[in-house]
Amino acid sequence: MNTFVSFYWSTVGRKFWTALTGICLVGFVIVHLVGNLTLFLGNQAMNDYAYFLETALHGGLRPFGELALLVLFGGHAFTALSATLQNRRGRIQAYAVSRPAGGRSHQTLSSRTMAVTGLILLTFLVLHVAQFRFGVGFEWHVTAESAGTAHPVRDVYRTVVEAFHTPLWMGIYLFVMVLLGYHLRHGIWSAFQTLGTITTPLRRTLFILGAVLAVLLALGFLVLPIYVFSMVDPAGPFQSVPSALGGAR
Amino acid sequence: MSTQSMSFNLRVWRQDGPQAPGRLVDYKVVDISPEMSFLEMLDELNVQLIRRGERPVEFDSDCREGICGMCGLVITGVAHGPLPATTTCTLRMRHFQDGQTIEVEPFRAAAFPIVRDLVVDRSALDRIIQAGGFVSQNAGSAPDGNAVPVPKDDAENAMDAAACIGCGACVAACPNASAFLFTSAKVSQLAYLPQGRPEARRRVAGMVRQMDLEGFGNCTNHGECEAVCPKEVSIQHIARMRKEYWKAILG
Ligand code: HEM
Ligand code: FES
Repeated sequence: MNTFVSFYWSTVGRKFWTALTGICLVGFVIVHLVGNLTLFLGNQAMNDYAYFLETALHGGLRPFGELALLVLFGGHAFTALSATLQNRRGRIQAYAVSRPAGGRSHQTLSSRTMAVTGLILLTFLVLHVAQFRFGVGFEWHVTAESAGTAHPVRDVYRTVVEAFHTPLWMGIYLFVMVLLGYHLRHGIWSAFQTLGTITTPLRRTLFILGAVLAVLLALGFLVLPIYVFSMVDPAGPFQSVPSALGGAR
Repeated sequence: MSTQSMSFNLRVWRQDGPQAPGRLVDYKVVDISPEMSFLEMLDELNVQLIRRGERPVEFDSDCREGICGMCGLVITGVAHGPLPATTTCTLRMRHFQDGQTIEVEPFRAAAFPIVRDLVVDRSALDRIIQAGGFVSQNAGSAPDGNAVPVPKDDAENAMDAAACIGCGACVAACPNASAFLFTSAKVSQLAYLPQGRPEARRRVAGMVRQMDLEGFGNCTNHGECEAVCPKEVSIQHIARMRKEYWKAILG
């Protein structure tokens, strides 16, 4: 039998990939949040962290990580959205009157809007990567000396501070982080249900724990821009050369 | 027995044939006893329509005691009506308010074409069963009791799955019109038992394939199916079916 084709193209197979990539993305988002908390430690800590990511494993971590993320995000969005289209074909004529039955249902606003929140996340992701990874519109650098030559290093701390002092960016981030929480409110427990046999008591527990984790993650990402926005001295001591390059400590 | 009588404003989906356009039509029914089932109330409506020389409302039913799975309507927006764990035929009019407006629609799914009015063709579910939902090996005559040990939990789970009457409410209620709950119940009821194991792989692969061919949607774990299921079949069986499927495809 054409095993792998059916493993992808069947409804059951496709959903497996959505869930697997989704869970990996949740893992990534947690690591990402923890890394971003270096912001609270100030300019030096954040730029050190950014420099670490750029240079770890002889510079191999970043290309490898970025490729993995591209595959994860791409695979997740593709499998999820193609399933969404499949689902829309499942019912051609809508009900005149339809309402959730409540009771034992796990249907929530979050579960009904997964494709919408997902698409907004995807759009946001493009902006986010352009802005913070490639520095489009935020081209701040510090000059570092290494091996005797001076060369510019991106000032990630300043990029973040400048971005979050722009009310528009600030607003976009706040909005999208709330939507991330919504996406994960259904996504986290749903991925467990998709990936394994879940007995009813465990499922009910995960349904609640998933919501708690979703709220925590959304709050974590909300706190950062709000903190930066409310900083008294946004200009701060910029020019923070990574300490690995001889910057101040 | 209550002597009070009730009246309702019905809004019933009328559609002349599979391709014809349909619409909700308003009817008033009076003198309805609270003890009547929903289908008996529709019978009353039909008596009234026949007297007026109009075509009666067509709907499916058979046992009228909640075991055959033939009946099935979406009532006030919920498959089998607002009462949990109930079929349309065992839903009583006392569960509605006197004078209430009640919308009545057929089970809607691309894989359930409307035949007429409230009657839909659910043979897609039969074809899923035909694709593997059975045991075909010769099992001989009935074994001695306890000759084939079955752990209690497995027996309970198989029985819970086997409670499915195949009415299709899970499909009707699912925002994706997915048949995962039905198919998983039919996979689980055999997968948990030793008699079902020899053909387990072929069974689940064939049934999932047929389910997809029929044009049902994918499962995104809304769990709406379990909430409307007259037999309260759990979405635990969906997780079980997925696991059986990995085993069948990769194992
Ligand atoms: C921040 C990154 C994201 C994370 C952490 C994430 C996480 C998840 C998880 C865990 C699931 C559940 C999988 C399952 O139930 O089997 C899921 C489902 C889904 N995701 Fe994402 N996702 C992210 C981004 C996206 C993006 C960018 C899109 C779309 C472009 C998207 C669209 C969807 C859709 C449509 C579903 C299916 C709905 C459902 O299963 O109920 N997600 N996501
Ligand atoms: S008519 Fe048999 S279950 Fe309702």
